Amino acid sequence: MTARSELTASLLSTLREIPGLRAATPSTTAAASAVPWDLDVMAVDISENVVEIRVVALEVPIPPLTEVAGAALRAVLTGTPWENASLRLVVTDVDAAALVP
Amino acid sequence: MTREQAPARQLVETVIAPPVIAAVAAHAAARVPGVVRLEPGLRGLAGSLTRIARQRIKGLEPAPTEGVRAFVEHDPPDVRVEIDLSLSGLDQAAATAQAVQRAVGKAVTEATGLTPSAVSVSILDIEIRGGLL
Repeated sequence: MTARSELTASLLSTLREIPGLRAATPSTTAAASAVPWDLDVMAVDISENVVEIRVVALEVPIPPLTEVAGAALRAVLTGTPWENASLRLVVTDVDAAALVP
Repeated sequence: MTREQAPARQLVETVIAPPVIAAVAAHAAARVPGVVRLEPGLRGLAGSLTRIARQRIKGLEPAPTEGVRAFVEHDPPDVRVEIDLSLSGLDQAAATAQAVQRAVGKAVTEATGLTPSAVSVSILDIEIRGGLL
């Protein structure tokens, strides 16, 4: 396992513990569950200076969610070669259930 | 649209994509009294089909965006929303359109933390009997 893939796994693991957000990837379909690797890695891009994670909002308002996620995911970068990289959270979409009062 | 949440060394940047803004705007507009329906148009329908297919792959129920276009600029930061809709003939069109503008601006700000600089409402049709017949 490379440092990047280890970091990706750690980031996704942390993201899964944050309510209201999920990785923006095909992870819940029957087809996805039959694939023998974690498709959520498609939601994470790691370059030298930027760590980008694409998420879908399952709740609104979004700012409190991204604030919590940003702090938790930032902590994952501590002690890694990406400690000083920018962390970018991209909210790509919103689930319909999030808008139902 | 981005928002920086931390000092430069430990930067956390949040980007809200246009479909999120459009979905929030569509939901808010459709709930305004006097709005009969949002009008997607041909371009909107094509985009909507693509998005629904993508959402299904994700295993999500898509939040509708039909009839709404959201534009996000980064430099300078700006958010604009355009809405096409049909109104009931039982209400005053201008007043309903203004109510839509207010409701959409408020909803987008509350849900995303971004304040649209403009909410443009185009009334494409009016149901003479209020959409009741």
